[in-house]
Order: sequence, then structure tokens, then C-alpha cells
Amino acid sequence: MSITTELGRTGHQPPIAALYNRHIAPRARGARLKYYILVAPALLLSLSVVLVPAVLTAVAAFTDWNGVAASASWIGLDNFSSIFADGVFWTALANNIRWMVLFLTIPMAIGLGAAMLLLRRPRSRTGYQLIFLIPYVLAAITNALVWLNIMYSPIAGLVGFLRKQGINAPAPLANLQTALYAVAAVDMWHFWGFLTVVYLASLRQTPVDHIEAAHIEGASGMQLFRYVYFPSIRPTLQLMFVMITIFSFLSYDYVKLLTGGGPAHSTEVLSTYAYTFAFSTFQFGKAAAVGLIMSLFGLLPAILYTWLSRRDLQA
Amino acid sequence: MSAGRSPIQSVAGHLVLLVLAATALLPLTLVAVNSLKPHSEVVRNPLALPTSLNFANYRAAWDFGHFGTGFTNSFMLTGTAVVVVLGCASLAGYVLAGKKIPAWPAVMLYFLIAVTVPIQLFLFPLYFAFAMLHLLGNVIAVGVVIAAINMPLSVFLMRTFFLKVPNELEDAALVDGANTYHVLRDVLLPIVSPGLLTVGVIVGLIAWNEFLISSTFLQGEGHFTATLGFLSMNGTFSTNQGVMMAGAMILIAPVVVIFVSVQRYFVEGFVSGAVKG
Amino acid sequence: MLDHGRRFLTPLLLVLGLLTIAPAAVTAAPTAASRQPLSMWFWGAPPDHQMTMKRVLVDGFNASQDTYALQVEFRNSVDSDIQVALAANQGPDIVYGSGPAFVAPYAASSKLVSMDAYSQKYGWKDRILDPIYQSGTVGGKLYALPNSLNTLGIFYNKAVLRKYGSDVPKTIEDLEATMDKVKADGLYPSVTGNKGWRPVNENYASIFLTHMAGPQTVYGALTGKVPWTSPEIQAAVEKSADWYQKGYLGGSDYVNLNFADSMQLLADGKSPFFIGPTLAFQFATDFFNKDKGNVDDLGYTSFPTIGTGLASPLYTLGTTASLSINANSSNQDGAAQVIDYMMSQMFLENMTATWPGYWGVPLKSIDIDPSKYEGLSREYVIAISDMIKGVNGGNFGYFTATFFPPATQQEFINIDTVWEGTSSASDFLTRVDQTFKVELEKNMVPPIPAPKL
Repeated sequence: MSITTELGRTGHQPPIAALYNRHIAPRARGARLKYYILVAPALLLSLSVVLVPAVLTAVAAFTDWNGVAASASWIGLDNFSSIFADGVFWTALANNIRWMVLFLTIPMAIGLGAAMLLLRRPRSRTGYQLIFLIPYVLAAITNALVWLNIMYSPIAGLVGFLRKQGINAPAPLANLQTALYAVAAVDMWHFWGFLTVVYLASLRQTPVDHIEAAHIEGASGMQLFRYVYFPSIRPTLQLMFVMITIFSFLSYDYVKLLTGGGPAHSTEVLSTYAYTFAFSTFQFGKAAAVGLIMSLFGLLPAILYTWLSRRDLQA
Repeated sequence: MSAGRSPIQSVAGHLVLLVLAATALLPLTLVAVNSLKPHSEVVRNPLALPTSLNFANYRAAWDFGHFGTGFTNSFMLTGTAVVVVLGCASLAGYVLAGKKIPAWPAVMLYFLIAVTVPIQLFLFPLYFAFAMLHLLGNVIAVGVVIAAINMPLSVFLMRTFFLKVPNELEDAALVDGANTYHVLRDVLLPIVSPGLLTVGVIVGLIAWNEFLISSTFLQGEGHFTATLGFLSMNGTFSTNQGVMMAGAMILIAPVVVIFVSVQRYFVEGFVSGAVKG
Repeated sequence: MLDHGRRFLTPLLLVLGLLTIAPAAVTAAPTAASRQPLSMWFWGAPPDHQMTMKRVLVDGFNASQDTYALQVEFRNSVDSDIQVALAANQGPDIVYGSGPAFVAPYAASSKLVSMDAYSQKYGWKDRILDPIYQSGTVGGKLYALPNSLNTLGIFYNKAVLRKYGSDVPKTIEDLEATMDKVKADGLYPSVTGNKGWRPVNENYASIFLTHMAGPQTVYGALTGKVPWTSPEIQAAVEKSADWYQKGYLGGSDYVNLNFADSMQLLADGKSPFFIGPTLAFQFATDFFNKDKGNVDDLGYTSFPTIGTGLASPLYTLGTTASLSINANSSNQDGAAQVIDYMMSQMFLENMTATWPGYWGVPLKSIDIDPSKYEGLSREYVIAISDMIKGVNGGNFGYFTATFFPPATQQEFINIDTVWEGTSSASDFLTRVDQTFKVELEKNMVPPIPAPKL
């Protein structure tokens, strides 16, 4: 392929000399400036669009702004104390934690498993990836309509069908105990295809000569995975682990579309809780406070995990 | 690559994939089937096959969802988001993967924090700025905002792809006299092109289906994206499910086409020495 | 094979090409000749409703004058879009909002125009039902006009009632007896549910507040004279929980049914009753119509009063939405003209002919001949006429979504905590009381019209 052509074009020298050169060459400040310039666009764009408004919103958490008026007054930690005194907040928080545990296990496992299986099927893999991505590609409202009205419906949908056959299938969204899991199931079903695509792309970048070497040494499937593939995709796995943790505390769409936080708050999550304050009860200060808490909860496990694996991240 | 895999493993693997494919496809089939039925029939029995092939829903969806202008706007928005993200994230990913600046842990920490910010809560200040800059209704501006929101994930992903590139490659090129620009353009970017494609696909999908930011910042129906046009047919209390299903099919059609067509640009695992066909 | 640089070039050029035409596409919005534009944002709506809106409202208004050109945008999340827009002094000329309770904060922040002058010019005060008109005022000035009446009652399937030998229920005992009878036979006592839209709970909070706690008590609570924890209100909340648990509200499928599903089940004879808002007429047309030959099967009657201490019949007074004028609009006069156009009998008639249930303009007197209408539109017109009579006589209660301040209204959506048994009625009402007191202090309670005392 053309990569070897590139290699042939750019260098005949053995790599060792290059390594040697790099380690003894002085690091000029001018040389580093260009790297700042390279990273600047991403950083500046993110800072201006995300950080500045985020800080302003964070400040709002300490005020009584109602989301409409041109002014508000500082109330310190009042929003936080009323939120912590509200039982619904703790229900929502517990639900987010359950959500995180669910997403860190099930879709990760399925996504990785499917990616491994597709790795060895070069011809069918485009078709399979496309199919697995369909739930991710469909708009959330479409998926919600399908699951609410067709899958979960005890009257006309699959559950209804089972009931007509005499099987007393429970209606997943009606039961206070199962509602959250029913909603999470829909979101997980929509999400794991995305993970498959990411993991597969990463797996396909595993150096071919490592794989060949392992084959020559007679490595079994499990050993191949453990010693060749896994180390290669570990950064990606870690990245997705952190991302999923953070996303779990931001999850919103499917809860809002499927149950709106009900029945009786059993599917309430922090984002629906915040959204109600922002847009239904004119208490934007409280919404911002919940938002800060969401960020914190997403960030803490993420930082902890990153710090614990920092030595791996150096790799 | 099939050496070392027993037939049983092969069949079991196929079975698993087929089951997974079925779970992914079943709802799509339901959407397709129900897109051909009138609303009352869908409500009565969503699992039944249509009694006749009636494309009235598609015509209604196309007209009332304003898919004509919608697709143009969607392509502009998605295209902007993808181009901006790929441009910025690839450069940043390169810098962070190679730890080229001493502040790299701080930058990574910043991006990590940026991911945790809940979007719906920072709309107000952003909207205010948009209004002042007369950018309300500007699809390109919204594309840039979406790129900014997805920047952290993209930067991190690109970084993981750059991490796999051994230093020798870059050094060999540098020794040869190439400057950083050439190193990036001729050596590194082609190697991480699978990463560019993956990130491009992901951000493209996110931008295509995006409705929160778009709905807030896009005004005037001539500026609605296809997704917004689709959603405008969904009332709180009243929805024509047949039309919505047809609209859903129309909405994903371009995505499917583009996804399939970019797959052939996907370069296989790179080679660090040997020649491979 | 092409090298990578060139391969990416083509799509890149394509995007760049699009970017160059983008400014043109973005700014080019064809404007109608020399007319000034007026904008209004509405909820998302299915194609037939969009067609009716276009025909009756947009085309009708544009044809009736030649200064302005009205344009309606359909938006799935119109409420939050409007809030964000108004906060930044942007937004449409005509603000279509969720009702009087949402007007107060906007009015207080000067985002809406005081419409008193227009009211005088067009004679709205004389035309609109008094309690409705009052509810749109803030500090005595008119800021919003609720544009459509919505009340709660009983839709019934005549064929099913005939089959079980029951008459149209006139008392709560009749109603419950019929529901028990059909329940024993495996039918739904009534069909309804909040699938996909949790605020449907408001209907079943309101109906018992009106018909059991009574207008006087609720009026006292809403004006701060009576606590929300009073025994009459607690009894009403407990009765609603009792109904829910007995399956009188959608059997055990309340969370799995929405209004469309319910109407379909009602039409199919799976239940005799759908107890709910008159805006449900919108869904009825899909399942009770000429093609299916069952138009005459659907009837509507008011909900019976519970107990002997209250007047009868009573009507829960509610509106579906309200119309206001954006303070930052450059065409305020035009906006007022549109509102006037929408608050007329002609508008009621033209919209209701094809879209019954959502456009019951709250006029003091409507002179409509029901026989001019067919099928469901006729039933709807009769329902609205009856309601107007009742309201003029002062026999009305309060829809939580219309008259309760925002956070209190949200608390009543959480009434399902009592229904599901995760909270007691008294704890629930204690919470309501605390929430209400805060809002009362902050002047967030809309003007509450007094019932006949």
C-alpha cells in the first residue's frame, strides 16, 4: 500500500540514528512555539464556546436567577442546601450512578466483543458496522417512538403480543422498580454500535507485524487478545471508560422522551431534574446548581481513573 | 488471518453477530413497515404488515418536514462541524500524543472538564452572544458550536490514534529534512487517516441528529436542518406516527449512503517495516 | 491509487464550495413584496394540522389585510426556545405561551407588551370570558390572552354503554358502578395515560380538585387564605389515588397509554369511557370518523360533582395556551392584529371544522349552530358552549396547568407519587403548600377569577 511508498520516499537511514539525534538535540523554544500554535485552534474554540458560558452558568448557581429577568441577586449556597434537602435529588443521583454501572459493563462488553468478531471478517465488516450503527444513526425521537409504542407497549407492541399469547409479560415502564432499567436498555441498545465502530477502528491499527509474530509463536486466540490486541487498544478502552462515566451523569434524551422522569420519579436523573428547574419552574439558579453537581460527579471518577492509570497513559 | 480459528468458533462468532444484527435491525424494520401505514393503523397494530404499499406518508413527510431546504442546511451544518473538528482535533491530538508542550497534562485536564459541562445549561449566555453578533439562524455558526462541543472527545480519540504511530517514523522524516508541516501532511495524517475517518463519522452523526443547539439558535424555517424539520411534525399531544416513521427513513438515508461510501477510504492496520499488499 | 492528499481534497473542496454559498443561503429569505413580516412560533404539529393552520390562520390573515405577512414556525421544543429567546430580548413577534402562569415572570421582566391599549381598540374585554380575561393580567394590565378553552369531562362510547345496559353517567355512583361492571368483564374501566408526556397527570389532579374539593376551597388555597393541606383538598387527592389504584384510570396501563392509544381503544370498544380534556377531541377524529362509520358512537358529557355540598354541573376552567406580544417586536401593531384575528368566532368555526378540540376561543357568547357541524366537531362545539354557560354562571374550578404558579403546578404533576404509594397525601400536600407560599411571596400567582360563592 502507499504507506510503504511514503516510507521509501522519506527515509533510508536506519531509525537508530534518528533516535540518537532526537535525544541529544537541544530543545529550542522557537521549535516549541509551533506546537502551541498547532494546539491553539482546538483549545481556543473550546474555551470560547464552552468555558466562558459554562463559567457564567456556574456563577448563576449561586444566584436566584429565574431564567428570564435581566438581573438576579446573590444567594450563596441556598440553592445547594435546598437541593440537598430534596429527596428527589438523591433519587436522581442514585439513578445516575446505576446508569453509570450499567453503561460501563454491558455496552462496553458487547461493543468490544462485536469489534473483535468483526476484526476477522474483512468482507462483511462494513455491512455489519452499518447495521450496528443504525440505532445510533436514528434520531432519538424515532427510537423513543419505536420503543414506547411498539416494543414496550402492553397493548399493541411486543409486550402486548406476548400477553395475547397468554404470557403475563410485565410492562417494563410501568413498574417503579424496572422503569429505569427499561429506559437504560433503550439507551444502551442505541449506544453500543458506536463503541463497536470506535473499538474496531482502533483494533485495526494494531501493528501487523506484532500479530504475525504472535501467530508464528503459536499464540491462541485468548493469548493473542491478551498480549497483542489489548495493549494496543488500551488507550482507547480507557478513553471510552472515562467518557462513559462522564456521559452517564449527563444522560438526558432517552429519559425525557420515554418517561419524563416518571412514574413517580423512578426514572428521574440529574439532567431531567435540572431541566425542570430551568424551563418549567423558573428557577434557573437551582438548575445551574444541579448542573455543577452533575459536572463534579462526572469529573471525580474520571480524574481518579485517569490518575490511577497515568503510568499507562504515558505509553 | 483465518488460521488458528476452529470452525466451531467461526460459526459461533457468526451467530453472535447475526443475533446482534437482528436486534439492531428489528426496530428499523418496524420503522420501515409502519412508514407505509396510515396513522390509525399504526396505533392499532404496529406489528402488522401494511395492507397496501402507500407512499403518501413519504410525500407528506417530505413536504411538511421541509426536507428540501432541510438537507441543504443539514449538510452545511454537518460539513462545517466535521471539517472544523478534524482540522483542530488532528493537530491537537498530534501535539498531545507526542507530549510536545510541557503543559500537555493541563490541556488534557481542561478538555476532560469541558466534557462534563451539561449543554442545556450553558445555552443562555451563548444565545446572548449569538444575538449580539447577529448570528441567529446562521447554520455555519451552529456547526462551529457543535464542533466546539465535540472537540474534547475528538481530541482524545485522535490522540489515541497518534499514540500508535511509533516515534521512529516521525524522526526519520525529520532527519530527512522535512519540517513539521510536511511531516504531518505527508507522513502522519495519512497514517492516522482511519482515526480521521472514525472521528469524522462520529462527529458527523452527532451533528446530523443534533436538535438542542440547532433548535435554540436557528430561526426562520428556511434555516431549519432536516432533523428540526422532522421534529416540527411531532406535536406534544398529537403525532402522525405513519408520517413520522416515513420522515425517519428519509432522515437516515443520506447518512447510510455516506457511511458506506467512506468505508473504502479506511486504511488497514499500518505496517512498520514489512511489505504487505 | 491516489495519494491521500488528493483524496481528501475533493470532499474538502465540496465543503468549501458549500461554505461560500452559505452566506447567500443563510441570508436569503424570500420576503413577500412590501409586506412587513410577522412571526409566530407554535408547537410541532402533524401535517394535517399544519395544513389547517396555514389555510385558516396564515393564508386567512394574510388575505384579510395587506400590511403584514404572517409566518408560523413549527417547533418541537417551543416553550424552552421561547424562554431562551426572550431572555436575550429576541424571539417571535407573537409569543405563543403555555398559559397565564408563565406570563407573570416575562411580564415582570418587561419582555412582553402590555396589551391594554389594543384591548380597548379591539374590544377584547367585552368579547372574552371574564375569568379568562382576568387570568391574563399582571398587576391589572393585560399581558396574555388565553386563546382556547380546555375543560375536563367524560368521553363515552355509546355502543359499549348500550351493550352493558348502562346510561350516560350522571352521578359519581353511576360512573363507578358502570366502571366496576365492565371491569369485571375484562374491559378497561376507562382508558387514559401519560405515556411520553408526564404532565398528563395534571388532568387527574385538576378534576378531583374541582369536583370534590370544590371551587371555593381551591380558590381560597390559590389566594393564600386556605392551606393546601385542608381536609377537602386532601380528600380529593386521596380520591384520585383511590381511582388510580382501582384501575379507574387506564387500568394498570396508565403509563403505557397516551391519548391517541386511548381513543383507539375507546373506538374499538375496549372501554366505555375516556375521562380527560376536551383537547382530546383532536385525537378522536383519527379513530371516530366517517370512514370507519362510527362517528355517532362518541359522546361527551361533563364530569359529575362528588358529594352534596357543591354545585352541579361544574367545569374545570383551563386553557391550552396564551398569546402575547413580544416587547422587542418591531411590529407590535401587526402582532395585535393577528391576535385579534385569532380571538374571533369565525376563527373558532373555521379551525374547528377540520381540527376540533384545540381552538375553543373563549368568547363570552358564541352563536354557533351545532347542526352546522358534523360528527365530532359538533360534539366539541356543544361541549364548549355548555362550558361557556357554566363559566358565565360562575360554576368553575381551576386547571392546575392554567392557574397554578409554575413550581406548584410542577408539584401537582408529581401527584403520581401519591398514586404509586411512595408518598402520603398529607406529605405531598405539605410540599405543595411550602412551594406555593414561596411563589405567592414572589408574586408568581396569576390573577385567580372568583367562582360563584
